[in-house]
This record gives sequence, structure tokens and C-alpha cells, in this order.
Amino acid sequence: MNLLESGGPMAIMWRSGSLVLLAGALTLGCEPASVLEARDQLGRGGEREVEYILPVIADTFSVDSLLDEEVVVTTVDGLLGIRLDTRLLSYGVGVFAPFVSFGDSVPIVAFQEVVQDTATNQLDFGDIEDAIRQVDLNDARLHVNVSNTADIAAVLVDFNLGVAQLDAGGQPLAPEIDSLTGMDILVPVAETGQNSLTIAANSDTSFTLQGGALVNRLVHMVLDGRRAAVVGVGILTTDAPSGQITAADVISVQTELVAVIDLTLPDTGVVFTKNTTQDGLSIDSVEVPTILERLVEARVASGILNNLPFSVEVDIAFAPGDLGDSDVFAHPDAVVVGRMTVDTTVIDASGRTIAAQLTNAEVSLVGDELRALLGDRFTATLRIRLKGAATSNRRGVVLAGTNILVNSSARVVLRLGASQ
Amino acid sequence: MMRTITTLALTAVLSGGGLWAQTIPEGSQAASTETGYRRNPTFRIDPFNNLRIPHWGFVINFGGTAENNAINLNDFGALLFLSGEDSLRVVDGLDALGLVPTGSGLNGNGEVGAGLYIGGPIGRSLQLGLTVAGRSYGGLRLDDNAVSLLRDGNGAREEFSLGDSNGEGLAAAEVGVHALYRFGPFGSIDGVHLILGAGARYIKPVLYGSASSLLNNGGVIRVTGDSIAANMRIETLQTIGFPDGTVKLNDGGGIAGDFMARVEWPTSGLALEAQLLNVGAVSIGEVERRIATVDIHTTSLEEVSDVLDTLELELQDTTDVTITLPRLARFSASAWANRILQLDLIATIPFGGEFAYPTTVDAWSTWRFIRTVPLRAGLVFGGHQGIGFSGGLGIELRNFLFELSGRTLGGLFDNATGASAGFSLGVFF
Repeated sequence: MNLLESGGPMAIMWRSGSLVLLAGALTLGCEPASVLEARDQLGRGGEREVEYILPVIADTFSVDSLLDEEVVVTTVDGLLGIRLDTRLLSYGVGVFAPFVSFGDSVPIVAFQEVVQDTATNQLDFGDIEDAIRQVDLNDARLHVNVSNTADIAAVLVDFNLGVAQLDAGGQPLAPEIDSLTGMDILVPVAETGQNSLTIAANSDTSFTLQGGALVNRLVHMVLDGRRAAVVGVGILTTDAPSGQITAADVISVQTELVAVIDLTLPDTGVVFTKNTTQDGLSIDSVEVPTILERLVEARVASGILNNLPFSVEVDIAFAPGDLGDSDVFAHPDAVVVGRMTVDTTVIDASGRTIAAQLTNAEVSLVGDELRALLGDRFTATLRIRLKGAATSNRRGVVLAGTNILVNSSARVVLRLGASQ
Repeated sequence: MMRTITTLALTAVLSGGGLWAQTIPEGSQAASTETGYRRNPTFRIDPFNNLRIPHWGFVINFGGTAENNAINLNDFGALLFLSGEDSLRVVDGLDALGLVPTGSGLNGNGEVGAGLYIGGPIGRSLQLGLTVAGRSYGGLRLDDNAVSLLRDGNGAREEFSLGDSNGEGLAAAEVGVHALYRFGPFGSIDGVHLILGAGARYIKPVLYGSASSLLNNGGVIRVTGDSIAANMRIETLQTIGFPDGTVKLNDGGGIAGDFMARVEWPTSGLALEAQLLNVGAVSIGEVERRIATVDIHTTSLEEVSDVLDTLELELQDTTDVTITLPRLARFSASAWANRILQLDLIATIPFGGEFAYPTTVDAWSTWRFIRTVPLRAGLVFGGHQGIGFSGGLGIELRNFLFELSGRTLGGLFDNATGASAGFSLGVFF
């Protein structure tokens, strides 16, 4: 709002034109000879340091917000999960045998390739993808729905879900092997304590299975650029004394993969970066040198309440302009702000946060370091390193809604008055 | 404060008359100066000033006064210079704000008038005059609670407000009729004269505008390291066309009354005078009432910037307002000190009305080395900032008047924080 134009107090004096004429006339002969002299005149007051404190950030950053909300799920035990992928493995009986009746045992194999596709939210890790590449997913849930369209019950015996690399022809190779156990990575699809699963006629059944190793391998294979598939292998039979499962019937297994944010980090932690482009203070470039000359001190103080089961190291670099997703640390005009370290929370042996941790951090900016912030737009890259606690073997479990509370303020001290 | 100043001024006036007055020596410049020209110039409204001259004629007047409590003429010149050079920077503004006295805020006001007087004597005792004039009043106050946010920062203090910041301006045309009636001499041919004056002016507003807070104590502005909160509601009143400076006579109007009483002892040169001026109110029609509201509580500077960028004074309605004109009382005492020197003390005291003018006391010395060419010098007390200096000269002939006077307020010449000027040019028949 321009008070001169809109009728504010200054305008009232201003529009009373004769007053201005009078003022102008009175100042005849009072004009300084130069800009320097004029500034000296205005600076005739006593030198003083003026401190301005302004909020920079007072916000809550939840881990959920790093992910596409379409893929965020909360597990029944309150953990934060990511819906990775939904696969449908269908078995047309006629492919393997003309029909299945009591006493028949028909081997079946089915697979579906898994690809990363953020458009359909398949394996969409959002802003933590880089971090996921570097960690092991300890916990994943397979929500399974098995359907039977036949008029008699179907029984899956020794049916296992696994993960396999596809060859050049798109056919699955041998199931992947767990490097720790030397065994195939398999998830049995069976009733508890049994090796089989019975699906009643014309019905389906749903349940959840634990599949951390399977999902961990699948995710890393896909993120590493290897072709991978979910594979279902087992025997199809029926316990119905009469009737048949015919070629017209479909026995299908639909799996929804959900990775829980239950991570084991490497020794060096994991690093991911995030770019933000923000408005600066939009100070005219001509003004900037003067402000920098008058700058006595500029500090950004942050109080960070960490609920994550990891410690956090934050490095920030910013540079003028809208630089998109490029790495600002590599920009020739980048200003790298001193590192802020946020202590890890108090966690239990399973890596779950017991008590949040408050950390106060402060960084100081001098002279030219402020230049980018004074312009119209600037881009900042946050390089965030998460490190696991030794007490939990670097394992951390993120509960749904886990967040970090950040409260940052800027303190700027300018030297004003007197002749500068 | 005002009561104290008034008392002091009156005491000075009354005691000064007794101390300084003496019988004017025969043949001195003092003795031969026409009594009408013994009245010293004043810088604010004075509708009786031209009536003092007992001859038919006309006088063109121009005069005004403007002052503030922080920015002197050199500062103002520097601001104009930097602005003209397109070199006015944020830090220059902050430096200038540092000149605003802590605790006082920025206070300023001004009054300018220009007019044509036609008048003269009717009979031996009556003097009648008609005046057509234009006059502007303006007042601005930025409360210290508002100024201090930028001037002092928020390191030591987090809560600010607009306080009683306000601004108001009025430009008006006026037509007035005033009369003086001279009684006396009483007692003897050299006895005391009593002069009574009265008159009225019809005032027609041309432009009017004001701005003030609608919230008690100017609302709240709180700036902390955590958040910024502001709750302000500003109302502006402005005649239609005000923002564009469109000049047209307003539908409103009003009457102001002026009164004067003067006692003169011609042979001793002593005179005492009291004036009560600008008593009245003016209604102003077709006033647009606009309101801008800021109600924000945020942690984001960007949001504050967005709110300010989109802030608008929204038109509420068109209404009539009535303002009380800035009344003033003026007390003066005049006496001759010797053959060529006249001393005057003039206290101009506001008592109500808009625009919040400060009290001033002018102490004049008028030197008549040549009877018709008075040279004036003096001191000014009061105003917004302490002592100022005044000066002037005139050519006072039977058929011709030229008068030029000026004063600085709150300092000497370009270090002053205010100034006044007056100019009169008259022809008599």
C-alpha cells in the first residue's frame, strides 16, 4: 500500500500542495553538494547499533511430507510405511493342465515384473529415494489377496512368493538368495503352521505377511536398474471330492508391497539432498553493498526438536537465482553455511524413539555471504545426513507422524546513524 | 504544559509592558510611526492584521509555517537531493529515522495561507475589511511506538503499535468580513484606546484527508524470533478526488469566528492585545471512508510481504464529516524601549481543534533607524523544538506596504526543524 497514493498520513501532507511548496522553498539553499554530503547529513545522529530479529522458520517437518501422500500408509502397529507396488499374479488353470480335480497336483509358476513408475506410484520413494538406495529395509509387509473363481475349493501347496531377476528375454532366473542365510528369499503363502492355503469356492481371502528381505532385495534391484519380478511358485490342487477347476477358472494372488520405514543405516549414514527456491528480501542491488557495509552481525539461530531415531547433520548452500534441482554446492557463487548437527533421540534397542532431543544450533553469516539472501530469489540445497545410533546397531524405526520441529530466527545487527 | 506556557506568556506580556514602556520622545521615529504599523507581523492566521492600516486599499498576503520535531532543513534538503538523484536508500531512511527523538515520535504540522484583503475606514472609528483567501492545514503524528520498530529494532522490545499515529490535512477557500472599532481616547487626548474587533469567515472545503487507527492504542504489532503478528485497522477519510489532487469546491462548509481586543497607550507606545481566532467547525461532504485491515499471525516473512502487497483501503461508504478548526489564542504585548526600538512579545497558543499545533512565543525587536523601514529581529520559543530565530523588514508608507518576515523554529537557519515566512504587499489610497 502506497500511503502517498492512497490517502495515508503522508499523502495528506503531500496533497496539501502549498505545504510542500513552502517546504520546498524553505529548503532552497539547504541542498547538499553531493550524494556523500547528503548521506553524511542524514547520518548526523549518534552512531547506534540496531538489532532486528525476525522469524525464518517455525515449522514442523514430518517424514510423511517427504513422500507422496498417495503412497504413505500407517501400519497396524503405528509405523510409517510406503505403499510400493501392487502386483496381480494370475493363473489360468488351462495353461498347466486341462483341469484340476481331487488328487491332482499341478505345479504353477507366475511372475510380474516390477518397475519404478512414479506416475502410478509404483516404487515411489519421493525425496528419500537417495537415502533408500543406501539403507537396508528391515521390515516390509505383503498384503496378500488370493482369489478363486472355481466352483470348488482350491488349495495352494508350498506356494511361495519370491523375487527374481529377469533375463534378456524377460523370463525369471533363479530366485534371489539371502546373503546372510544362503537360502532363497521366499515368503510362504500358507495358513499359519501349515504348508498350504485353501481358498473356498468362488471366494477370496486376505492376509498380511512379513517380507522384509524380499522387498529389500526387490527395491534395491529396481533402484539399481536391474529387471526384477515378483514370482509365485507352488502346487495347485483341490480338496473337493467332486468337481473340477477348469480352464475357465482363475486362481489369482494379488500382492501389495508396503515397506516400513525401519532402516539400518550404514556406518557413514545416508545422505540425501533437497532443493528449495525461495524469495529473498528483494532489496535493490544498488542497496546491497551499503547494507553489507553497515552489517555488524548476522546470525541464524535454530532450535530443533528431533523425533527421528537418527542424528541429523545439515549442510546448507545457497546461491542467487532459481537454480532448479541443480546442486548448489557446486555453484560458483554458492555460500556454504556452517554445519548444524542435531543429536539423535533416545531410542530403544529396536530403534524406536523413546524421547525427543532438543538441539540448539547457530550459524553466523558475514558480509558477502548475505548477498544472495538480499536479492529476489535464491536457491538453497540442504544436504542432510542421517546417522544411526550405535545403541540400536544403526537401526531406526520411524513411527507414523514422526517429525522434526524447527524454530529458526535471524538476528541482524546494523550500524546506523553518525556519518558512515 | 499548555497551562504553564500560557501563564508564563501572559506573565511576560503583562510584566513586559510595565518594564519596557516609556513615553515616546517627541520627534522620535517611534512617535511618528503610524499606530497601525506598530503591530508586528504574525505567522499563523491573523485576519485582523490588514485591518490595522486606517486607509482604504488592498493587500496581498502570503504566509505559512511548517515544522516538525526531528528533521531539520538540511536533512530535508538531503532527502530531496537523494530522492532527486534516485539515490535514496533503505539505510538513508533508517538514518533519518534515527533523528526522531526517542519517546516523542515524529510530529509535524503546517499551515499556509494566501489571500487578498480589501478594506478601509468607515468614519473615524470603524475599520472594515473583506478577505478572500485560501488556506491549508496539515498535521502528522507518527507515534513513537510505530517509529521505534524500524528505528530501534526489535532486539530489546517485541511489541509495537501504531499508537496514536494519525494524519490530517485540509485545504479550503474562505471569504471573510472583519471589523475593528476604536474606542477612546479615554481620560485625555493622549489617553488609552480600546480597539475591539470581530469577524467571520465562511469556509468552503476543497480537499480533505485523514488517516488514523480504529483500534485502541493503534492495535498491535508483535515481531519475535518465532512469529510476526499484527492486528491493525486503519481508516482513511478523503474527499472524492483527493488522491488525484482534483480541486473542486466541496458541498460542505462552515463558519469561523475571530475576535480581538487591543488596548493602546499611544504616547507611551504600550499596547496589549488578545485574540481568539478560528472558532468554528467545517462540515465536509462527499467524504469517502476507507478501511484497511491487517490481521496476521504467521511464521513466514513471505506471508507478511504478501499481505502488505495486497493490502488495500477498501471503500466502506461516502459520508459527511465535521472537523473543528484549529482554534488559537494569541496574546501580545508591545512597548517602545527607546527612540527607535520597539519590543513585542507574542504568544500563540492552540486551544482545541484539529491538527495539534504547538504553542509558540515570539519575542520581537523592531528597529526603526528609518521610520518607514522597520528592521525586525527576534527569538522564538516553543514550537516542537526549543529556540528559533526570527527576522524581517518592511517598507511602510502612506500608500504602500511591503512586509517580509521569516523565522526558523528549533534552530538557526538550515539547522532549524521548522520555518515560517510571511509576505504582504499593499496599496492604499
